[in-house]
This record gives sequence, structure tokens and C-alpha cells, in this order.
Amino acid sequence: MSTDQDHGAPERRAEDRLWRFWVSIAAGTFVVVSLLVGLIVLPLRDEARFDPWGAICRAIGIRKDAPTATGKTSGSPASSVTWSAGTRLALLGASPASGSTIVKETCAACHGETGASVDPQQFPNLAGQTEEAIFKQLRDFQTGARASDIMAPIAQALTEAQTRDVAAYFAAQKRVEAVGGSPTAPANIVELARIGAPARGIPSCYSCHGQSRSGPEEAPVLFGQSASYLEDQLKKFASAERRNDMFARMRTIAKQLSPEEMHGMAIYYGDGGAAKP
Amino acid sequence: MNYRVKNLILAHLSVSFATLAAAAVLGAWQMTVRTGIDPPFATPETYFASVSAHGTIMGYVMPTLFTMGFGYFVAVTALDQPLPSMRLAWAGFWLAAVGIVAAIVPIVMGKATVLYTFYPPLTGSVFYYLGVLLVVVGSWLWVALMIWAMAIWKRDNPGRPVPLAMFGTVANAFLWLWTTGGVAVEIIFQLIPASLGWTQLIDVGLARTLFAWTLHPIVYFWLLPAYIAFYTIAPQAAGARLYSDLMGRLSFVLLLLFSLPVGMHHLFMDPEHGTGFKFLQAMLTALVVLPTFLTVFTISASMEIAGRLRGGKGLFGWIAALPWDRPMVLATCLSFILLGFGGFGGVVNMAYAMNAMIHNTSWVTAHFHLIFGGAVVIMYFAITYWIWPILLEQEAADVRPLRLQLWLWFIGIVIMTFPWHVLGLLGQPRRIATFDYANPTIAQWQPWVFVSMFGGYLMLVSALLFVWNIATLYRAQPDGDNRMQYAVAVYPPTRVPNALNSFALWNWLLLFLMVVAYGYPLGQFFLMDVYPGLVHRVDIGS
Repeated sequence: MSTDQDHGAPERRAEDRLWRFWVSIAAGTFVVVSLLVGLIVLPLRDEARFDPWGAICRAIGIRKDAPTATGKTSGSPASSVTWSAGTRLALLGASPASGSTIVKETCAACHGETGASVDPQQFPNLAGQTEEAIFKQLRDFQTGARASDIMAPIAQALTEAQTRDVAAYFAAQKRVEAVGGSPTAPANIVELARIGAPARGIPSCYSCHGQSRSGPEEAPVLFGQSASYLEDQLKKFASAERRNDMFARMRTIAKQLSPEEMHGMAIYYGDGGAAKP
Repeated sequence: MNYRVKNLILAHLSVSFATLAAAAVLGAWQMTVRTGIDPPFATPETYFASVSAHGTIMGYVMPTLFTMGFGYFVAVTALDQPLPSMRLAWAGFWLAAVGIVAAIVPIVMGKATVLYTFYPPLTGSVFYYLGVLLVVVGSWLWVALMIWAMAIWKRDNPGRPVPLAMFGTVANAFLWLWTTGGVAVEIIFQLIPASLGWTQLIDVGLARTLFAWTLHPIVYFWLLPAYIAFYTIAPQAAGARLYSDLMGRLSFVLLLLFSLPVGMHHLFMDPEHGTGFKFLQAMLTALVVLPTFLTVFTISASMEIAGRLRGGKGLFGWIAALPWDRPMVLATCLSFILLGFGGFGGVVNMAYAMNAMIHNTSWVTAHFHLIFGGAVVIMYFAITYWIWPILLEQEAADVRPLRLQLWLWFIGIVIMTFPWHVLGLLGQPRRIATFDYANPTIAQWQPWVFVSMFGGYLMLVSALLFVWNIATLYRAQPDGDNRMQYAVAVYPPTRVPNALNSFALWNWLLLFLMVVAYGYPLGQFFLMDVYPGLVHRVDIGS
């Protein structure tokens, strides 16, 4: 852009060259030194072996040269469901209308046509439950990750698309009126639900099962279930009889709860066995 | 005021300050919500809508319009020539004006509560993004006009140094052009397709990196008008000369260079980047101390000259001798104090390990309010008080309300942001609508939040007083010549090296630094397997 008249004068051009030279040297040196430190020197700290190439790969986030865990993993995952974009996109495209037909034929006898259970103490209410929660449980019944003599054959009869449609149908129904979260619940139970017990490493129930549902996708809504069903599930998690919770989240929490706490928790979230559709 | 630019500049500044006043009201309300005393309309939805509006105005609208208006003022007064195209300048203004309305309406309707930082997978109404884009496009016309005006002047004045104020303004124009690149790409290729529902998946890591490219230099874009005032107005206001013109030029080009390849320090805790480039950008971030210290030294030296000319003696006697009754002198000092504290907080942010401690806490919010709301905006006020008589051709009838307003702002920002920093250290997360202070774990936060709110209200009073001042106080007859006078250097430059009179060298160098700093971090998203997130559109609630 410069159109200076004396731009072309030899001494001006010499001056320009000097600026270009020293500015390039200064900037280049700074960048090279920073890159050497950032890509090689720092990643090589505490390394037994001098491996600059491996250090660079780690420093830019390429994982194949990163140190790997020595212990081998064994066993099978708690659940085969993954919350990938593919799973979630497929759930978005599920059809409650198709689900409705399957529910009437297959599920209604126990869980009710609109998801209000005929016997909440045995069969959970599914109306208004989240799509993710229902889908995850059905898939786990199909794969055997969650064991149930009743549900396994029923779930296995469904295709994956039908599973999603059923989940979408129940999720679209009006939730069973909840009377849980009673303000008269014992203070220690309310505190456990709302704040958790940090000293015992127990997070608040609300952090995953609360209204904002900022926790794992599959965390179900608890209000509106029967207290005895909830207590039963907590006990099964505690004894690891039920083990389809990802990362053993619920097993870890439940085994720290006393029987009284499990009972109180179930009553707090449930309805004392008096759910009404 | 010559060259018929008065209305153009007044239009820019009026819109800027009108939105400032509105956003200040929102800010005070947000501080109230955070105390837990439940003011009217307080729900998480309204809180986040308010934060989105406050941030959009204070981040994109107010400073951009101010910088454009002040840039036009400098281009005409420092170069003493008309703008290359009035039509283009007005087109830029109207694009920005339409953009502001398009961006704010969806926020008010609750369809763009995305908190003004463009971090997907959260996306809002497409009109919000189009609105912000229009503001940016309008400002690009300003960029073109600034570069064009300087080119015309250099053609007509071969070999002469470009006036320092204009050199700084064009540095800022180039800075802005580079800065907006990242967010423009993010809006056009990622956010708009997502907000229209054309795409269901969005690469969050790529979007965050593109936004980091913009998010840090945007702060320097806000800052440069303040620096221009430090160098070219403050010494004049103090009745003396600028200690060194060359230092000013050097500071402006260094700010241009070290504003851009540094944004990754906003992503220190992000998993999509390795430590190597985070380290490089942290090192480059640290280099901003160079122009900052050059400026603090040069302006302090200029002020010392002024104080001694006015009879100040001894090691510190010159400070007392300065004309503190003049708003520009007062504001410069207050701004330096805030810049000092803010800079200290910034060092914590740019250091990887310390950053981990305050990441995503109130410390961050406090930091940018202190630096921008404090050190920079107080200079916007002082600049306006300085150029208002030239624009209106009338003097302020009384300068005491002007000083009162500056003091209120200074005290307000200190009371607001210092406890806010403490809250960050205590672990208070930012961007949370409500806190349950009945919970004993966080009960200790509440007193600090209350003190902080009090500072916020002082700032609100100050913002409203500012609008009242510029709307009603300027009605006295001017005493004599009211043409704009920029500070003259102690040794006025007769010629400067080409390198400090043009930007070609610095733009090439910046291109090199950007390729080094962002080449791999951006390129990796196109080389490796990526795991995009599912778009979450707040405007349709899915």
C-alpha cells in the first residue's frame, strides 16, 4: 500500500531490508524456541527414554505413541448402548405412532396402554419416562445386560427400530401424577437427594435424576414410580444383582446407602405406594 | 467540524451509548439475581436471555459502534481530509443498525439464549447469527474506509509519517479484519446451517477453536481506542507533549501481532488440543506485556513532563501538579490502575496451571469486566467528553458531573469485580442462574455477591449519568478554537521507517504466526476422525 515517493531510494530500501531481517529473526527465534520447549522439552520430562518423535506426537494430541495403561481390561461392558450421535439421531427419528401399535399388543397388559402401570409395585410406570431411559433398558433386556425372565423374551422380539418407536411412544405420554419429593420427608433424606453426601462420595440424586437432567442420557425420571419398586432396584444395585448401570454408577452409590436410607429415598422419590394414574 | 461527518459520528456514538445504557440495566439486574434475592422476572430463562443480550451488546455492538465512530473522527481530524466515501460509511452504519435489531429481537423472544459466546452444540435462532454477522459486515466497510483513507493520505503526503492516531486506528482496522475471520467462518459454515436445521451434527471442537481465534483479539480491538487516546489525547489534555511517537507506533503493531495467535489460552482445559500448541500460544500471549509496558512507560513519562511543566518538583511532586480536574487526565490515571489489576488477573488466566484453578469460575467474568468494562470503557467515556465539544461545537457547562461520573464508574467496577475475583477463587462457577445459598457449602459466597451487586448498581448510576451528561451538559459557548488537537511528540517525527508507517511487513508476519499457531490445531479436524455433537437448538427446544 505504500506509495512513498522516496520508497524506492536505496537507503530506504536498505532500511526496509534491515527491519524485515531483524523482525523475522526475532519472531522466528521466539517461535522455534517455544515450539522446541512445548513439543519436545516439556513432554520429555520424567520420561525414561529419549524419544523426541513420540514426544511431539503426544504434545499435538496424537494418541498412538502416548503411554498406554499397563493393566488389561477384562469382562464385558455393563451395557452395549452407546450415546453416539448415531444413536441419538436415530432416537430423534423414532415414531410414537408406530410405537403405539406395538405397545397395545405387547406392553399394555402390564405397563398400561398409556404407560400407567397396572401394578406399579412390580411394573414401573413408563408414561412420560425419557426416551433414552426406556430405549436403554429395552436394549439391555435384549442383550441380557439386565436380566429378567419376563422382559427378556418380550424385548428380544422387537427390532431395534421398534425398540426406539416404543420408547418414543411412552416418552410422549403424560407422566403419572407424582406425589414424591415430600417436604415432610426426613431432613437427612432430603439432603441426600438434593446435596448428596460429599464426605462419603455420594453425589446428589438431583444431579442426574433432577429436572435439568444434566447427567447421563439414560438416567430415568424417578418421581412417579412406586416406592417399593424403587427400593427393590436400589437393593439390587447395592448387591450387584442388577449390573447394567454404565460405569457402575448406581452400584457404587447404592452400596454405600444404609437400608434405612434406601427405604427413605424410595419413599421420597416414590409415592409411598399410592400412585394414581 | 469539517467534511460533513458530524452526523455520521454522532449516529455511531448515539447507538453505541443507547445500547450501553440498556445493557447496564440488564447487568445490574443480573447481579441482583445472583445474590439470591429474587428480583422481579427472575427465572433461569430470563436470566440467560438477559446475559445473552448484555453480552451481545457489550461485546459486539457497543464497542464496535464506538470504535467505528471514533475511527471516522480520527480519519477526518488527524488526516484533515474527507472520508473516501460517505455512502459506504452510512451503508456500514445501517447494516450494523439492522443487524443489532435482528440479533436482539430473538434474544428477547427467548429464541437465542446462547450466551453470546458461539459455543455449539447450543444454537439459537438463525436471525441472531445473521444479525451479528450484519454488524460484522458493517464494520468491515469501516475497515475498508480506514485503510483507504490512509492510502489516500500517503499518496498525497509522500514520505511523511502517518499521524499516530490514524496509524493506531488502521492498526485496529487490520486487527479487526483478522479477528473477525474465525467467528465469520464459524457462523457461516457451522452455526447458520445448524440453526436452520440443515445439519444435525456439529464439530464442537472446531467451532470452539474458530471462536477462540476471535475471542481474544476482540478484546484488543476494544482496547485500541483507549490506547490511541493514551498516546494522542491524554498528553495534550495534561498540557504537555507525548514522550515518544515511535513507542506509540511500535505498541500498535505489537498489539496487532500479539492479539491474534494467542486465543487458545481460552481452550487450556479443552480436550481437542494437545499441550504443544497450547504452550506456544501461552508464550505468545505473554508477549503482550511488551506493548503494555511500553505504553505505561511512555504515558507516565509524558505525564511527568506535564507535571514538571506545571511546577511539580521532586520524585513524585509532578503527580500532584497534574491537572486532575480534566476528565481525560483523571480517566487515564484510573484506567492505568484498573489495567494494572486486570493485567495481574490476566497473567493467572494465561498460565496453564493457574488457569486450571480458575477455569470457568467467576474469576474469568470478573477479569474481563475489570479490563474491558473498567480500563477500556472509562476511556470511551473520557474520549467522548473530549470530542463532544468538537462534534456539538458547544462546551460542557460544568465538568464536575463528568468527573463524578468517572469516579463512580471506577469505584463501581472495583467494588463489583474485586469480590467477584474472590468468588472465582472460592470456586463459584460462572453462567449459573441461581445459587442455593442455604446450602452450607456455598453459603460463604453470598456476602461477596452482595458487595459485588452494590458495585454493579454504582456502575448503572454512572452509565445513566454519562448519558445524561452528554445529552444535557454541552450547551456552553466554546471559548475560541475548538478544532481537534492531537498531542505533539517531544520530538515530532519528520520521517519514520516504512515498517512503522505501513502494515505490509506486520500483516505478513501475522500470517506466519497464525499459520504456525493455528495451522495444525485447525487442520487436525480435517485430518483425524472427528466425533461431532448433536445440534441442540434452543429456539425450537430440541
